[in-house]
Amino acid sequence: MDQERKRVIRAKQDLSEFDYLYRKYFPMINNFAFHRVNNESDRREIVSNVFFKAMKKISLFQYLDSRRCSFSAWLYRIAVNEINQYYRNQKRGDKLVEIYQFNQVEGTEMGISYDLVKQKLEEIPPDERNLVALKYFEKLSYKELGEIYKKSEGAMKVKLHRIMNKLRESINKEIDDERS
Amino acid sequence: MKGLEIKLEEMKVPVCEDEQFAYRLRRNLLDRYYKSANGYRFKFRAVLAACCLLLVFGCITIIKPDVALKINNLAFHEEKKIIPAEQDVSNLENLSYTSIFNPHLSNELDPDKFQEDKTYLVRKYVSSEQGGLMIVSEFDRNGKKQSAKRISF
Repeated sequence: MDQERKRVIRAKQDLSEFDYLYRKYFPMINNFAFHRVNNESDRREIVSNVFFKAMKKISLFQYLDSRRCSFSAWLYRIAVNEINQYYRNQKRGDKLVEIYQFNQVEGTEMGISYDLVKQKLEEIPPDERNLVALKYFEKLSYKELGEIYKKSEGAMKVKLHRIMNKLRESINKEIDDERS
Repeated sequence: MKGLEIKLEEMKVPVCEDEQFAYRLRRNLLDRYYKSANGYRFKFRAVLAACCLLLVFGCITIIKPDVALKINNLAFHEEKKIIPAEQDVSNLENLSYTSIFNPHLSNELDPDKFQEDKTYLVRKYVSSEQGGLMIVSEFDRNGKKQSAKRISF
């Protein structure tokens, strides 16, 4: 954590440190945006905004947040805010969303498919979707979620539990329909 | 569907690989922050040099005001106004005719019946072009304030 903090501080001047951070965190942020946004150009725009904002406000992280959260949590927080803003704008502008083609992963007999979960996520509010995506698509821990949302691990567990109850009902209904 | 959470954790999640975009974004970030950083570095050095110069001038002004005055004169071509020294009038007590106890007056008045009211100093200046000028300066007894009254040209 401390080593990472030093790298982040140096990244403002040192190209090699910046390169290290970019290579490390780009796939994470890109994947998260990919899970949350269907449109390819919108995803790219969100990821660009996240990194541009991060570079611009890296001093804020250095002085305010570096003791409280990791750099990855700080980046995810920017991404969450960007995605929420994107959905607010989309709602306002009533944009037509193109479905982005990606490698579909089929669900196993006993398990559930990514497509089904993603489809059911559309039924819950965008910020709750972010939480599910971070937890189950990005595989983050409750501690990391707490750092992103500036809440305790317990609070994140409760929040996610409530979201999962909603999602469970919806997915159960879908599976029952398929079986019948 | 009791173990939804477990199933979600075991779920296969697709990975988005976009190397072209990653490369392009990296280039954009470098262009924006590292190339502009060089420009800022130059500006920072220029401002720092100017600040140091100002600091030196400030120190000179405090420590050696004469040097600052010379620099100021040199920069703005202003000539220092030389105030001519006036005649020393501090030894008024030695002039007997400034007092009422004057031998020429002793037959005409009794100096003991007079009280000194005010003291004036009269200076006369003469100019061949602009005529004469008399300045009457009134001495305050308390020594707080000295006023000069223009009485004639």
